Amino acid sequence: MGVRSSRLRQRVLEAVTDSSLRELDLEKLLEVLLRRVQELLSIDTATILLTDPSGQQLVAKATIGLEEEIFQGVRIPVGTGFAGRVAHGREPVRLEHVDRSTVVNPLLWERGLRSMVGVPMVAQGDLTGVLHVGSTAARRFTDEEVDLLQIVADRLATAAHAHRSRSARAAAAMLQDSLLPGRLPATDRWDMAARYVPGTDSGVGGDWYDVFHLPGDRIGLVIGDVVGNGLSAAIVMGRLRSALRAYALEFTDPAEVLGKLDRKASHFEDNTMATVAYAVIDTAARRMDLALAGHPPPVLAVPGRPAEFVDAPVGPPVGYDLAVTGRRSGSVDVPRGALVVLYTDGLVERREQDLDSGLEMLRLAVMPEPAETACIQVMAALVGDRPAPDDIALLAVRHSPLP
Amino acid sequence: MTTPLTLTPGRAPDGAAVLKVVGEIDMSNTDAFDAALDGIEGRLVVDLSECEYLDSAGLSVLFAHASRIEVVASPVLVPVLTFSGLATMVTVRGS
Repeated sequence: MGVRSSRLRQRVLEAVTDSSLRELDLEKLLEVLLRRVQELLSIDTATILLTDPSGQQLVAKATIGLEEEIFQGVRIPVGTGFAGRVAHGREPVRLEHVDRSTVVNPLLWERGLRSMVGVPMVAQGDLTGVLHVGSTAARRFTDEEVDLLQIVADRLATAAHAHRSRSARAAAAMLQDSLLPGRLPATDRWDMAARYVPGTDSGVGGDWYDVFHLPGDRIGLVIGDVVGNGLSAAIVMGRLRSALRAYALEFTDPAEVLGKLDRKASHFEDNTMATVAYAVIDTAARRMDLALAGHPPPVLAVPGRPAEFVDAPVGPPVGYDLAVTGRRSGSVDVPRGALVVLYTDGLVERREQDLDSGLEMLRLAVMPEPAETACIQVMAALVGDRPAPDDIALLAVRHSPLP
Repeated sequence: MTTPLTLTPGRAPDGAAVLKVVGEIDMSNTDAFDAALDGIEGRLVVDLSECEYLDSAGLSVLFAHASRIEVVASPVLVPVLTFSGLATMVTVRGS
């Protein structure tokens, strides 16, 4: 390696390890590093494309010399064209002719580029994007230049990956916050309380609860759990939650509502499974209709009797088109002073303990008390000081015993 | 980190295809579990008699193959399979 090239290497390393970069947000970081690359390698264009959430497309995010790419929202499918090839093979690609046969994006040859090199941006095994540079003069990029470009791309990939994880976590938490009812609907004879706790392993996940008034003095109670965690589970949860509300207005039988939800989820949410318990309390008759889609049954605590699990037929979860029709509801009286508790499996399931013992602990913890007291008791008994790995949702509804 | 899991395809004495599952199934290894089921055509028995844990991601794999499987479950898993509704669609035998 010549003196010139080792000096260049030194300058590239300094450019990417500069501690002031840490204070920049992603957009600014991309811009600063592109400018440095342009200076160091004497090139005419430098562009960063990042993968979209599907991982199937590259979207132009920052550039020097190809601003039209950003303005026009250029998208390149992974696998096609120049950047698509770099992304697909996760290997550098050098181009010595830039024309229709080698690149998809006409902006590149219209810009008069003659030579290009692109390198993949990979962090923690995930492809985050592609960095490519171009020259309007004919030029063969050396192995060392490709190498140095890769060092820059690695730095960019780390930043993009961290930014993406942070944003996804923040978005999932905001989505959860905005979708869980802030205030539960109050009625004079029924009091309600709820909890949602993100899991220590899973973070914010796909658990949700919902309460809404329905025509005819009825209250809808929902608790559900979308398999998976993070932003993707929270997004599906949001869609299932609003779909269930819509069906709840149209159909009175909870089993029919879950059947419709199954059809919707199976058609629109590819390979997603969710368990749901949906109950409708007729407040005048003090009766609860209930349907279960792969979800453990609610606990019912009636004054003067031990608490018990509501006996209702359990159908399969929603999402695999397994029971669009043929689901059945159960029905149970909710006497004066009785409490109903709905929950997700995060409350009762632990790796070191079987489900039956978790359920029994829950049953013993549920007393016909005011809903808020019941939530406190249940969380103290089942969670206590052991943080739960999986997220937990809990919803308690109680009929006031006063005449 | 991946949770320890071994997946061994084989045959029952009556010739039926069997996938023997030993270990724990959770989100970290459901892709491998799914791929092992995909790798076996037609009807099969999923032997979970030595599987000590199955989370909802693992359950979703069983549901995805519900039309063609039978399950042998360890006593720990029977309640999980019952409350998930799998036992209403698939034959679940205790081990």
